[in-house]
Amino acid sequence: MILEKVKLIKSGKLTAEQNIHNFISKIRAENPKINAVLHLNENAVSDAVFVDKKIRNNQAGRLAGIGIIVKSNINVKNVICNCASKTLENYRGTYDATVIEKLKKEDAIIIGMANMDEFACGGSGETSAFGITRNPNAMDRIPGGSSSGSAASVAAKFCDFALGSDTGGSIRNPASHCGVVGFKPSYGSVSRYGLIDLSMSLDQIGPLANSVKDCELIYNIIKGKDERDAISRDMVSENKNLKKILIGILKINANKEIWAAVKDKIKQICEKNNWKKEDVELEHINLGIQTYYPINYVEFFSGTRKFDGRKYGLKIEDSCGEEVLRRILGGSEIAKAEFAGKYYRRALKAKKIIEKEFEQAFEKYDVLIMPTVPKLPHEIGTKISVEDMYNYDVCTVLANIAEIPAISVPIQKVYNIPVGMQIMAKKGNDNFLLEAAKEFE
Amino acid sequence: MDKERIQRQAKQILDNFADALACVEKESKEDSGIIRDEFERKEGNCNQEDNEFRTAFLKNSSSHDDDFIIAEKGSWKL
Repeated sequence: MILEKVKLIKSGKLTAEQNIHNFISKIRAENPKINAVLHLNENAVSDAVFVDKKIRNNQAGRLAGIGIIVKSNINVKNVICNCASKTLENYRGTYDATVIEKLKKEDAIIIGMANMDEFACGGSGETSAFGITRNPNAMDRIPGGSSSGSAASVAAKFCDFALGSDTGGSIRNPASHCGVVGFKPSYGSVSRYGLIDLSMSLDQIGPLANSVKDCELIYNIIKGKDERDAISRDMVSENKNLKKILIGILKINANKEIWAAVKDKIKQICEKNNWKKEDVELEHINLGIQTYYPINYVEFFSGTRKFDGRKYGLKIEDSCGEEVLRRILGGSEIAKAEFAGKYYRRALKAKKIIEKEFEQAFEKYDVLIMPTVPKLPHEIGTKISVEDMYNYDVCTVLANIAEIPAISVPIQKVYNIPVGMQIMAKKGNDNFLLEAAKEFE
Repeated sequence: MDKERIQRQAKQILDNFADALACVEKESKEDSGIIRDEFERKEGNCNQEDNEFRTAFLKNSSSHDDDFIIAEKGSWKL
C-alpha cells in the first residue's frame, strides 16, 4: 500500500503536502478520543513541501511523502521525545536515531511522536504519564503495549506506518490487539542507536503497518550494520523454497477461541499452499516470563541511572509511575552482589537454554506459529494484578529471548476484537519470514 | 506512591521467578556470555563540531551558564 501511495505522490496525483496535511487534520479531529499521538512535528508540512520540490526535480527517495508516527522513545532531532514520562516531559531529541536518518534519507516525513507505556514498561498502554491510549478497533479496550500509540496510530489511519520498539512483545502485542501488522526483526539486525533503552540485550526497533508488504519495505530500509550500535550486523536470509514449508504449531496455554482462530487460519493456508504442519512442544518455553523479567528489571535499572535530573529532565525515582518504579527497585535488588547469581545469572542460563531449543526446532521447521497474545485485551479501567499483566507477554517474550524474528499478522475478530497470529523464524531469516507471512494476510 | 510496598512486591515477584528457574541450574553448567567476532569498531571524527547538537543539548538542561550545564548547586555543602 505504501508503494502504491508513493507512486501516486510521485505522479503528482497526490502531493506529499496533501498527504501529510490529511493525516494532521485526521489527528487533530480524532486524537482527543484515542490519545495515540503525543506531539506533532512542527516542521512536518514544510518537510513535505521540500519533498514535493525534490519530486519535481526527480530526486525523491523510495518513501517520498510517506507519513510516519514514531514511538516516543526513539530520538528525532528537535522533536519532543519523552518516553511518555514526566521525567523527560520537555526533552527534545538532540540527534536523529539511525532508523530515523535512514527513513528521512528516503524522504519519509515524521508526522509526530506516539504515546506509549512509560519508558516502555507495560503491555497495555495504561502506564503513560499522559493518559491511556484507546484501541481504535475496540474503543473500550486497551490497545496493548508498550508501542500503544504506534499501533493505534496505524489502526486509526493517522499515518502510513509507525515505528515501535519491542523488548518482550511491545510491537507485536499492540499490533495484535489493534488489528495491524507488527514486525520484530532479529536481535541486532536493525540499529538501536538513538533508542532510549528498556533492556539492552532484548530491545529491537521495528515497523507497524497495514500489511506485511509495507513492513518488509520499511525493514529493508532500516536494517543493516551500524558502527554506532556494536551489536548490529548485516544479516542475510536463507533462500528457502516457499512451496515446501513445514509449520510447527507451538503448544502454549492461550484462550481457546484465540487458538481456534489460529488453527483455522493455519489449516486454510496449508490447504491453499500444500504446506505441512505439526504440533511441537518445547520443554522450557513456559519459563519465558520468569526468564524475561529479571533480565528486564536489572538492565532497566542500569539503563536509567542516567536519569538523575542533573543534565536534563527530572530524577526518575521522583517523577515516574508505579510500574517504572517497580522495575527500578526490583532491578536494584538484583544488582546487589548477593542476588546476582540467584536472579540475573540464572535468568541468563535459562535464556541460553530457550535459545538452543528454538535453534534445534528450526533445524526441522521453517516457521513456528502460536497466538501473539494468549487472551483478549481487557476493558480500560479493569483492575488487574501485576502477574496477570505480565502474562500477556507469555507468547511474545520467547522471540526476544531467542533473538529471532517474529511477526504478528491480524487473522480475525473474536467477539468483535482483533486477534493476531505470531509467526517466527530462525535468527537472520527475517526476509524469509516476511515472505511466508504474506501468505497469511 | 508507597515505595516500600512496591519494593516488597518486586522482591516477591523476583523470588517466585527465581524459584521457577531453579531447575535450569542443574541443566546448564555453562555461564552465559557473548563472544563477538570483532572487538573493535571504527570511531567517527570526534573533532567535528556540531553546533546544532550543542544548542539542543543545552536547551534540554534545567540550568546552564554559557557552554556549561550547571548540574549541582552545592547543596552538599553544609
